[in-house]
Amino acid sequence: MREYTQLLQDVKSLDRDSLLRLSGFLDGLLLEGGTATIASAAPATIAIEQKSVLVAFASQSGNAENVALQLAEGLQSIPSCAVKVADVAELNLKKIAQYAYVFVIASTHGEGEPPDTAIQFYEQLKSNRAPQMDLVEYAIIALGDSSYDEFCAFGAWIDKRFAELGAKSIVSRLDCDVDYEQEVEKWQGELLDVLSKSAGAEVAINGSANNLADGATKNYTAKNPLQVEVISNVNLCTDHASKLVHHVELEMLSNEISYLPGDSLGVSVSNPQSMVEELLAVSQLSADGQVSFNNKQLSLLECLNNEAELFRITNKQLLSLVENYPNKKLQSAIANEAKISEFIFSQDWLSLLKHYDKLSFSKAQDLIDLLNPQGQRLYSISSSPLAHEDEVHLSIRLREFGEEKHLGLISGEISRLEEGDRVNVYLKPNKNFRLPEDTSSPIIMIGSGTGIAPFRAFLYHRLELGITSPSWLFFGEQSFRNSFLYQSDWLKLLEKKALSELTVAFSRETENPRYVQDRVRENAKEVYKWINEGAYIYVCGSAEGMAPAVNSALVDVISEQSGVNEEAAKQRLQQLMIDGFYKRDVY
Amino acid sequence: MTSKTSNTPNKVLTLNELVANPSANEVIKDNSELLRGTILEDLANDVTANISADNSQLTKFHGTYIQDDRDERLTRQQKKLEPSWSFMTRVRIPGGLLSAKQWQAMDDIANKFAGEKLKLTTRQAIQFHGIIKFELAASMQAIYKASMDSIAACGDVNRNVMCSSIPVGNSIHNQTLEWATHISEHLLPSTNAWFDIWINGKKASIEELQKEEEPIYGKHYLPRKFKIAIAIPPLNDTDIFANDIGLVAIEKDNKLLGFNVCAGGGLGTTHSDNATYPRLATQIGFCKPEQILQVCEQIMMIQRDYGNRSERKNARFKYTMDRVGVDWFKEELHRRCGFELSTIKPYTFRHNGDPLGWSEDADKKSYLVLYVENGRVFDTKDSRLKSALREVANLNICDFRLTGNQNIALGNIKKADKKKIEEIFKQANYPIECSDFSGMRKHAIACVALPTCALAMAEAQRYLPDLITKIEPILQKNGLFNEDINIRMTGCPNGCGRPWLGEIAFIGKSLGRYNMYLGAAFDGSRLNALYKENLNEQTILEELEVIIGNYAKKRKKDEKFGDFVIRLGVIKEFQAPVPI
Repeated sequence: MREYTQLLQDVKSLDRDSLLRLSGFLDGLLLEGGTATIASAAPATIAIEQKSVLVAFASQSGNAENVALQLAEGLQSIPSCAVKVADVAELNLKKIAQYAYVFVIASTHGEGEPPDTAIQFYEQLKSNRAPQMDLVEYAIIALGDSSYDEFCAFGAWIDKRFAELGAKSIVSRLDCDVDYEQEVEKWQGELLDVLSKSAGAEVAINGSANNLADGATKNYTAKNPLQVEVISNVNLCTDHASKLVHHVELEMLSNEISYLPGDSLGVSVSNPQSMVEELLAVSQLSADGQVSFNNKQLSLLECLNNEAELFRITNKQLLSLVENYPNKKLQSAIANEAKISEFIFSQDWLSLLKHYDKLSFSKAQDLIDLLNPQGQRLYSISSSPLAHEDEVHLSIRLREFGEEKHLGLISGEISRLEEGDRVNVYLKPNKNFRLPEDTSSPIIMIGSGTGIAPFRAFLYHRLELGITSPSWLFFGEQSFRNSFLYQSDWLKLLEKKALSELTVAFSRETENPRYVQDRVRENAKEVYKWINEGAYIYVCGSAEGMAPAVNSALVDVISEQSGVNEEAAKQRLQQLMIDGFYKRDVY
Repeated sequence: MTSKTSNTPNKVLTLNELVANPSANEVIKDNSELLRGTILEDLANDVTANISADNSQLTKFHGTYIQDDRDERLTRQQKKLEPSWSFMTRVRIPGGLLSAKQWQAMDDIANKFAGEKLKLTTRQAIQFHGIIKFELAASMQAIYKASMDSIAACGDVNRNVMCSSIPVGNSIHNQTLEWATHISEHLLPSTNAWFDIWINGKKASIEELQKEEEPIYGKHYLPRKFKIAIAIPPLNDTDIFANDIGLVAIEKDNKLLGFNVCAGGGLGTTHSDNATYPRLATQIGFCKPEQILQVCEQIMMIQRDYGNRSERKNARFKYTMDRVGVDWFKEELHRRCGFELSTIKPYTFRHNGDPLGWSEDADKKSYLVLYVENGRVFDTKDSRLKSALREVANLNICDFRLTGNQNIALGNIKKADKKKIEEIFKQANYPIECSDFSGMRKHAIACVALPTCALAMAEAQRYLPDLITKIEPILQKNGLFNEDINIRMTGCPNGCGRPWLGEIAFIGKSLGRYNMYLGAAFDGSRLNALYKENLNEQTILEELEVIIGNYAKKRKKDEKFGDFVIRLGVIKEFQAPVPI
């Protein structure tokens, strides 16, 4: 332990640049899973001897923000305080609960309502799921207008709620009317007195962000998944969009599963009961008939429920079905290659078998022989374990099958999930899709639709680690207004410099419809410059349309900018891939 | 108080010379290169429909505001989408006069860019809501193509100049309208920024910028907005006393003799801030038509030089007037003009509403004033005002006149064409005689408020019609259904719907809650006063039940509602706080 104290002393004496380099080095170690000696030694947080102080504001007109800034300035005079000022709109309550001291400046809007920007904070704090705050000491300034009935009500409510959650008030709440400057000054004096008296005392280390080097996470799999709880589930698209993309936040403790940006999460779900029942009816088979599947003996029902893939159809399966059970309607629906892939994309096994007016299998095994074992459902994680501690976020496009448009296996599950429900998950690491170990490397990220997911994880990770090397995100979707996935996140990441360039392409805008590959070509000169400067290129999205289109755009960029022919450009791109500078996560 | 510096208009002052503690807006103007800022860069940014905070102050000078749909705010926040940003653009229309061709163009713009709706404002302008940033320049170009613009329709400059435009008993309205246009043009900023940004889409060169100047305004423009309105007695349909400069057109033998000049009016306040208050314009003197440009310019320049540039809440000319005093102001005005105004000529205002229905001028041309609820021109399934106006415009048989009460008039109609117009409105199922409407509904004004106005604390135009529907049974019961009572509602105390001039008025405090004001004069010559705070619908109706009941029982013959509540002592006449 003494070594560790000495190490900390040494680290603290470093200048800012050295600290940044060290931070990158530590990150590199963490990315490799952490070596035993370092990982067991310490979390990577450096300023642990300071008390973490949060000054949070909930502002309607900017007054609360001004008071917060003023208070933070005053707090700088106490050396043992590491002060952060933030809008409650940008804070997660769980994070708030990890600070040693929390000071909230809250305006009250209208008749005792929270300011617009604080509504999510209000909902989180109100919720039964609000975290305990036993380790937090707090104080509150409520701003209001005494000509309203519910004077300062929101600030008073936060006070009450913090106390209920176990936090300790260190200075009693100040309720301010429209003229508040002097009162605030006096109150601030009191607060600083209290704080500086307790300045020498050691406090628990709160909010250490990088504690993910815990190599002891368990090995969960599709058949042995971890059950986790849903924190929230929202459709990111508006009602005017022609698609549904859900953002699902799950609570996943880092000592159960620890992940890194670039990893995927598998979701395990049994086949929907109604679908299995209908399938049994269509195929006129008895549920308890015994079958042999995947080297196991089990009942047909059990097999259809848990073992067999009922949504995805392969080319081979389809052709074998038609060969063994001829059907005119089906045959015309799959007359050529193009039709086959289109057909497969839009059908599941139930809708497929419904093409037959009357389908009779002589025995259960005949049906089972057509089916494959249930495939994995993997989703690129869209959160960073540093920014979204003990959480994992997924970005899932809901898919529909057949003429009746019933939802896919996971889509159906996701569309039903509510806060507090449970889901089975397991980790699928993806070592080939990681942020560069050299944190000064530029990165180019190209994604469309939910292909954007890992880049949200990347960028939030960079934000937390303070990495500001050049980063360029190309994003494609259908509509600026209705399906600009994670728009407010990107704007925040741009503002905080974790992202330096954002180039967007919307394919269903009446004026100027474009795709990501078009925007890559438009920016050929700049893209090529980045490549030459050692940029890592990441592509995530559909393997059918987007990935090859982006690939050929990159070939064009290289060929056009370096004056070589297409073949040579292809080779150059291939070499980039071999050298690990061109990484793809396509599906 | 601001430091008093040179009164010579052409000396370029640095911001620090101008004022020791400039407000944030002054700094933005100072850095803006005559209102350009980085608006062009923001327009080119395709990852957000928003613009920077500084630029959103500057676009106001170009007649366009960024707003968001507050109904969608929370949902979009949860969906991790930015707010539903869009622009409100206000077209400058001096005196509210448009040709039929121009109305066609406005209608096209509404269809193409603004959700097929037009909003007629209380200052005789047209507002388009919901224009997305990426189409903003194209919509401006469409306005410009119709020989119109949105220059100075908002911002710290002289706004759209208002003027009565419906003939009542005399026929000086067309001559007077021309003066409204002259004043508006004369006081326009001279920067080329509007054309650079919206029409040419490119930044001026350094040489061009160096050549540019603002001879009247200077680079800091005015401390706050500035409003001018002209009324032709007996109508005060432009509510001139609510303006920084209010002009009363004086007529003799169907000729415009000149103007009574009133100065220092303004309504906007801040809730719970006693240093802010509404003020009616003070009568200053009379001038001839050919003197009016100079008089308006010099009044505005006194405000430019003496207005408060540190505290925006106290920056309007009304506060300057109270600070320097009316006598000093008159003396300074005379000194600057080089001539004295003569004594006020007698006149009488009858009311500040509109003469709805048909009327005729001295040249036997007809006018039709149509009632437009809250100034909102759009079609519903049942009643198609917007289509009807378009159809009339297509015939090119009249001009279009917006009134200060958010209504619209068709003017200069030949007798022979009256039938055609009546037929069009009949087909569109839009009433041209509002005989079914209560007197209160005909005299109602509400501002936009929710969901697009960022200042709104409560509903206004989406709610006032419903509230009137609930008041009407009380009026009916008391035999007052046809009594003309002036009622106004705004979502905030900023004053867009001129609430302090309502005989009954409501100013929003929070969702569903209003401060209630009573007792303004029916002709706009007396402010109302705060009656009760924080009323909800139920308490509003309870209060009105009693007051209207008393009014029916105890009023003198022809006594107006506003006069009655003062006489009976329901409310005390408003007293402005003594200026510091």
